[in-house]
Amino acid sequence: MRRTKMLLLPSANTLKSYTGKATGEVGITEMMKKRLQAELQCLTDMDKFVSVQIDEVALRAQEIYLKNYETYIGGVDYGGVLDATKAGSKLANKMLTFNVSGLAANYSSPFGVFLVKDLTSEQLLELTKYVVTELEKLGFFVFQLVTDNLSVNTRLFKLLNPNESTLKCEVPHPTDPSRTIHLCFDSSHIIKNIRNQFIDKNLKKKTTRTLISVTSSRCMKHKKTLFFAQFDTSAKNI
Amino acid sequence: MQIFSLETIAALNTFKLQGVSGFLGADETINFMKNINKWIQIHDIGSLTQWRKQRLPNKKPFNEPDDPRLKWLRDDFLPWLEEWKSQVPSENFFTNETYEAIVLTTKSTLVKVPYLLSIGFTSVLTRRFTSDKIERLFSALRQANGGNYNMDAKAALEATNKVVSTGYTYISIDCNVP
Repeated sequence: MRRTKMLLLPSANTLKSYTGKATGEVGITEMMKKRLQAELQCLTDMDKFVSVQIDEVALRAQEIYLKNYETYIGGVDYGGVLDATKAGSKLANKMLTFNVSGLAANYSSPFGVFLVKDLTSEQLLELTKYVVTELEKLGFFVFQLVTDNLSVNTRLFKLLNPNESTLKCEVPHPTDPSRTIHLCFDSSHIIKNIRNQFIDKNLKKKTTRTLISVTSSRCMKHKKTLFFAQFDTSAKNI
Repeated sequence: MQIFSLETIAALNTFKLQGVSGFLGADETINFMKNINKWIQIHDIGSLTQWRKQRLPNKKPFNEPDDPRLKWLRDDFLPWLEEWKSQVPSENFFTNETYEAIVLTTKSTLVKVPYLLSIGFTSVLTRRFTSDKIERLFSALRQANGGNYNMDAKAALEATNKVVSTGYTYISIDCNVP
């Protein structure tokens, strides 16, 4: 069609760069890679140990038309890593983000964002493997994965353990089986959970007399007394 | 995490010692709070000098693979949780997810710290193991949208691009300062 010169078509390269821009919005973009490459140049070997954090942030489910690129944005989009056609025309309500930060050196950068809805842990596993592979290609050593205490993430950790599906803090590295990758949950989220259960649940030890939680009516009284006592001392100090 | 702070523990302990009515059975509560407080402190070491300035020996960065705090995590904290779990019915204990998470994280710390020290790290700061950085990223995204807590996909992606491109300058300044 080009040879006939009946139509003036953009060159193949131009078309490629257009698609690059449209899909490049999601996933691991060129800019993220460039940024980490630039970062890499001023790092020593020790600084290349990184921790990858995985978390989701809520989005408003809304589709927006981008006039400049003539595309829509807001649907479920795995950045070309996974097949998004199964999701149909579902709108994304979460943004899954992978963040890279150094263990020895102080740097951190987002590396991979995906628009998701109702993500299963199998899909999350594929995305995680993809991100870790890309990071290792750049020259980083992925030392550990951190997530919060969501059930999908717990299942991801179980799936990362290939032999038996149990939770283990060390599993084989996705790219290099001779190494291990460490898994852990975010300690602040754990403390938040402990705090909530300390207040809401009826934590008990062996006998009923040794209550731990502050829920029972007797302990509620303690808490109030304690609160007033604290109030008293602070008032005296002033 | 004020509720597990050393001040609250000290206040409870004082009331117990003074024999204020209602506080006499507070032994287990104090023990529980002490354990959790120590666990928090061990997992929140973010600075090389804080332990010296605020006199918190638990917040000292890990320098040796046979640190007594690691021993405490392995020999005291985990057995304490296990013992407690085996003693009481499930409604009087943490939920299963929380228990699994706390055990995994503790074991993970126990493995990671000696490993990092063995490959040449001089000290280990456990705050680097948390996902604080990504939470900070999310707050940056929200700020980039004018404090919008319910952003749409386009806004979130544009904000990410902004963080990626501008964060570099900030970090490189930080890199040059040792």
